[in-house]
Amino acid sequence: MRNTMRYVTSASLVLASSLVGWSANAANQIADDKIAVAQAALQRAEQSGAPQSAPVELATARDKLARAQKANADRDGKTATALAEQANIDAQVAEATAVEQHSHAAAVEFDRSLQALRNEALRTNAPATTTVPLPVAAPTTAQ
Amino acid sequence: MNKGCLTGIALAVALAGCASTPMPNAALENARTVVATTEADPNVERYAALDIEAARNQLAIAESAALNNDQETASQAGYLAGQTARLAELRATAKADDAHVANGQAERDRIQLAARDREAAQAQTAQAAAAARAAQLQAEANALKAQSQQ
Repeated sequence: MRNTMRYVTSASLVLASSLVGWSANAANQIADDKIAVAQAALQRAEQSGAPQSAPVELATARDKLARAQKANADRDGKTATALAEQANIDAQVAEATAVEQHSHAAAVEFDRSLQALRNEALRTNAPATTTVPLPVAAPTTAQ
Repeated sequence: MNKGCLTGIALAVALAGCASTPMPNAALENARTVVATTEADPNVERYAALDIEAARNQLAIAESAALNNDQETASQAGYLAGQTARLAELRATAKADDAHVANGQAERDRIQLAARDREAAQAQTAQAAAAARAAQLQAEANALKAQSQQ
């Protein structure tokens, strides 16, 4: 009877510890996935011009990713997951900042060139109605 | 009895007060402001509908966590909501700028085409004038030649 009790106790201990191990693994798996997603987002941000357009946001994302990796190595899946989620969104904001600055600069440049074109058209259009018959009139006056 | 009843009511009021005003959460309060200002931008619904929807969902998670006094979840979801709203704003502004350029492209093409047409017309007129002048000179030369032969 006492042996059976001891057997049950040790069996439940083994079960409990394996359950803890399993849930820790599950948490680590989620953290691993989130870290991978954040890493990809950071890579995209770094290639998008974010280092120039959003250096602070990018540095924050890098720092959070490093802390997520550290927490993951320390088997703190929850902290690792939260930090990786933040690093991911920060990297996306950095990338979007770069893209937006690029689009804005292109729009400003486009407006400038379109305005120049409009002015040019106005300049050549206004005298055009009077200058077009001139070449015909020129020979008659030369006659 | 009466005193006990009053104490009970006071306690209930105090508890209700606690329940209806959860602890302030900086990330959540920031998210509320950012999501609201982002939603007010008409470009956002037009060009970043999915992103602002994601921000609203995160904000809802943060709000419900705050109601349950789960500060950790409220902070995390609040932070994600605020950043997702900023993402929506940035993406919407970029797309609006791109659309502005795409729309202006039609006007630019029209102006350039008109300028080319005008140049071609001018060249044609000049050519016709030169031909007319040449014909006139030829006629004058012929007339002079005929005069001298007489």
